[in-house]
Amino acid sequence: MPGDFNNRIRRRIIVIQVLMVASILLLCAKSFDIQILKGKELSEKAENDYSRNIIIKGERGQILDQNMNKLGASIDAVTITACPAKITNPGDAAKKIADLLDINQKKLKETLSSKRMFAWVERGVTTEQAEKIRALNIAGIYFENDSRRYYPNRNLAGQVIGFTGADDSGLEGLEFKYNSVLEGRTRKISLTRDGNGRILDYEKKRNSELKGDSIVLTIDKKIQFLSEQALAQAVTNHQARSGIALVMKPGTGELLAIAHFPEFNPNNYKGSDRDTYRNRAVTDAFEPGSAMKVFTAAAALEKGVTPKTIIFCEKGTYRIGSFTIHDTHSYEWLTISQIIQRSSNIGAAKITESIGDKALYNCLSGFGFGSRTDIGITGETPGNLIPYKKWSKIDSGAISFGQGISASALQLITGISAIANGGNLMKPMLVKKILSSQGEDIKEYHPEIVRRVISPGTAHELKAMMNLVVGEEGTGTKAAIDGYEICGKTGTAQKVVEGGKGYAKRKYISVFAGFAPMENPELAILVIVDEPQKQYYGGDVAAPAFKTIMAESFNYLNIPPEKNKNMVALLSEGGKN
Amino acid sequence: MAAKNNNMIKSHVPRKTTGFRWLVIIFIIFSELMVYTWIRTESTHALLRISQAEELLLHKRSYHKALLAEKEWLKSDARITQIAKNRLNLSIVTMKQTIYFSGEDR
Repeated sequence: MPGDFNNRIRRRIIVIQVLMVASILLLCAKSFDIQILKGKELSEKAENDYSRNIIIKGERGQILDQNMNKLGASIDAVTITACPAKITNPGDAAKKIADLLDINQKKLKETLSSKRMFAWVERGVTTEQAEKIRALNIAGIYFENDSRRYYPNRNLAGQVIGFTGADDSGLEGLEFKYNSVLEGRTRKISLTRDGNGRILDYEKKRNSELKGDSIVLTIDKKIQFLSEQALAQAVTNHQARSGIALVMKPGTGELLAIAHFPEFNPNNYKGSDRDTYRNRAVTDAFEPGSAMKVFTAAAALEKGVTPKTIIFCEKGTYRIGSFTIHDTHSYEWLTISQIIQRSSNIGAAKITESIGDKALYNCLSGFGFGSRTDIGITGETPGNLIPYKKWSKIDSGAISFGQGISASALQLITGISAIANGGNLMKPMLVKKILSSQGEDIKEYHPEIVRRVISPGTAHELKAMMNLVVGEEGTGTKAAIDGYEICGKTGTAQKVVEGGKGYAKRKYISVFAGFAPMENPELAILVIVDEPQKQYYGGDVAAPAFKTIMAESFNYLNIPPEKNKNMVALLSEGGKN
Repeated sequence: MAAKNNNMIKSHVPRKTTGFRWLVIIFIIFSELMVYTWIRTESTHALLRISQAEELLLHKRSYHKALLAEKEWLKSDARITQIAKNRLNLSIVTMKQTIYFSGEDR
């Protein structure tokens, strides 16, 4: 009996052992099948559930002023998307989201009620707003990290900087022109998601090497602000239509300010008139009026005429062919210097008669009128300078005092700067350098002399003439600044009838262009006021704004007065921020 | 009888060793499975913790960036000038900021 029992037990043990070995063998076989034979296929299947490939884009580069102040930067934002097919109650979802984002509820409801698999809800939402919407826990609403362009100084230099669209691509200004430099680079990456569908390692892959390059401008934020303020005051005081002010360093051609009025806020560009987006200092041409007389005088001096050469100014009325030109006052004999000082149209026309059309044309085209400066801004106008062979008699007369020719504000300030720096036409500069995302210099732009347009002697004589304009008996006395020798020229041009022929009555452009200090010019400034209502002479409308910009910029840049050499000037502390 | 018992003992000893070996193999495989599972779980947890830390860092960095942008606006000339003019009733006296001394006063 015990033997049978032992045998039975032994058999059972053998059976159990066989079963266990068989199970282990089965497990091993299955494990081999899963891990080795189907391993690749299954791991791919699993990865598809928790990872996917997407294209990511780095952050957009910054736009900085010459002192590295941010003019345009990107901040983190969230893009909210939806899968309308998964939203159970579109009306309720639309109401809750629209309330938080302050967007059109009706339009959002329409979007969420469709049967589509994808729809944009809102792009560039702040992280705080996104968190509030996330807390609503609405099925079918998704969040993606994004960035949004932000202009911390709001209206400042809006027309120069421009703005980007919803997809973070530049639409206007430097944002558009330098889009390829500023925009972040793209890369295809594989993302891992957790059980809740959250992306685990997104930011790690969206690293700084994808960030776009930054551009450093020649613009000085402070001078830009001073210019915008002075211009706004001039335009408002004279109930004018618009205005432009430019500040340039004559020695290098660097633009320190490009101010426009009316302004617009690039953070909310949709709220402004499209006409205000344009950088009109570069894109629009206008008849500069008497400000052109300095270039006529330059042509004469280069031909050997001296500043003391006298010209009979016909007592205020002079007939050229069937046209009659007038001076504001009746003059008889005036020297070239006095013609500039008192802004005699007849004197300027007679200068051209004496030197010939070709000499004037060559001088004006030498100063860059009629051709683009190639500053690198989209839509730059070359202005209009008709070849001298096509000039009629009245054309040559009118061009000599700035009618019948059109130029951009940029061309005019560049020409004035050439006189200020001793005769070299500089290529205007707006971008100083391009920086990589790590802050290293990628490209640096240097001042470039286009050509010598007048001799240093001629430039010196022109400076003396322009200094008389601001002195007693000149037309630009309102531009004088105590302690400084200012050189300038007023201009008042009648505007051409829009879409018609001839000149409009009571529609003027007031101009003042000049530079200072006379001996060693640090700044050249141009102020243009379009259609002023109360007064219209450049000396009354634009000159005071010129004075304010120049005086405040000198104060900021700590440029000491040069007059009263026996006196000591103590300047209050300016300094850049 | 004694000889028979001796034979039984001899024949049982190898059988016991074989069973023990199998148990050891099963234990090793089971342990390996447990360790593997534990490592995978820990790895996933670590990944989640890293992800959460990164998310927090991202949030802080984003907040820092927003604060920098706000700082730029706070120090903007337009804002400061507005406060100076409207709240503090200050005015700009650019033309009076230069004080002249005669040469004798030096």
